[in-house]
Amino acid sequence: MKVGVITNAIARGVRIASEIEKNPGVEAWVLVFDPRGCSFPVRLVREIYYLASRRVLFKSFRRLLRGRILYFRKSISHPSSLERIRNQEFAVGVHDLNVIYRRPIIDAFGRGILNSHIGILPRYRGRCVAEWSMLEGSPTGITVFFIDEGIDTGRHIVLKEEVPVPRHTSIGGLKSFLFDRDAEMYRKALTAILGGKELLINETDQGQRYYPMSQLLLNVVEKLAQS
Amino acid sequence: MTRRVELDIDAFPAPSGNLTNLLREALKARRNEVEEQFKQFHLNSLRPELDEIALVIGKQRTAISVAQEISWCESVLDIEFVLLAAAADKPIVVIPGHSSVDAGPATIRKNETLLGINRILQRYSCPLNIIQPSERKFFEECLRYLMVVDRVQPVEPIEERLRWLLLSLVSLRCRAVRDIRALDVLNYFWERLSRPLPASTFVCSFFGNYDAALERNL
Repeated sequence: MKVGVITNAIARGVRIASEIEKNPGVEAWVLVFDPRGCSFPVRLVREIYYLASRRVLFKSFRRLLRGRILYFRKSISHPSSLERIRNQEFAVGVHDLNVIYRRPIIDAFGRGILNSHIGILPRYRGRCVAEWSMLEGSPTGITVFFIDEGIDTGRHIVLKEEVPVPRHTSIGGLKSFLFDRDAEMYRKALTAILGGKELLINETDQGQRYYPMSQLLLNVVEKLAQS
Repeated sequence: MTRRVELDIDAFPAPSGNLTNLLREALKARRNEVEEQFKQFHLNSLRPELDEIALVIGKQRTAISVAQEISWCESVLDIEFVLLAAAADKPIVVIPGHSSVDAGPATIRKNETLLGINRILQRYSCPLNIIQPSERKFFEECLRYLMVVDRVQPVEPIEERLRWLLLSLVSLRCRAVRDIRALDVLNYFWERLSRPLPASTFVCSFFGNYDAALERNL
């Protein structure tokens, strides 16, 4: 299965690609989008320190030599970017870019684009869902689903897992803990897809959309997380 | 192949005692601040007739309070007055409505602000209607409009008026329906308000109803 990791940071993309390629049958390309338009060598030099510090420098060069890093100077919605993605004929896209995808982008990947959401769907859609889960006494967790143009409303859920948060942590620590599991979750999701696992339906009417939390309640969650 | 998954959203564990205490303390502290701010508004200078509302009651019309179950109704007075009366805990004079319950929720569309305001003002000529279960969809749209784009930044006067109107409606519903998620939208705005505040009826009614909503959720 040919998979494209959509990102704006080489190191993150390489980390995810390396993890999902642990699946036999998955070949991953890293699609790096930099709409600010700086040249690839400049971008690479800028990221070398970051790559080295994340211990993915060697992996990145190896991937680059194999032609598995594609660099885009235009945004993902630009026609030239779309055309280039379509030509690659990816079966699945993996989301690691801070954008809302429009339909033509989603359709450029055969089965769609996967998103790793740090909340349990369908109940927790939107922002600050890890904090809201804690505040409402619900399990924290991660859901991997195929996105649509809405906010966490994609109809097909590939997998969801409850992930208990470590005790005595901060909100920042809690979110990092959940976000850092994205590569592992994508790998599991692709395994499930390759194995023909039936998909769950994201019944959006059984959940709510959440918004950024006020400082007042963030303080409550912070105390709760640290207790 | 897909399968439907039923998820009971009330099936999750209830908040622990520690969480309840932390929440109550936080909301209580916020309520003191909001109450103080509300006191600074001179209701009668904004609408002198507010204290005379009792004179209007009893003339073949119905007076109801925010807490009551209501059927679709229309107000005898304008929306600003009714919001203010609700904020001041005065009974609200209404007449049975015959209007657009079946017309679907009002919508707030981008680049259509003026039209949006007029449509909302017409539909919620009696703002108490926002409390009805049938208005949940519109209420969700209010939250989305307020929170998706950062509406806290300075905006055009017309949009400013829409924002205060929506905040007033949200606060009115929050004092009748226990919903910490919606209440937190008000918390979020409170923390970002630029002072000094304009002395308008919508602003005043927002504070009064926000204060009552905090008390309701304590």
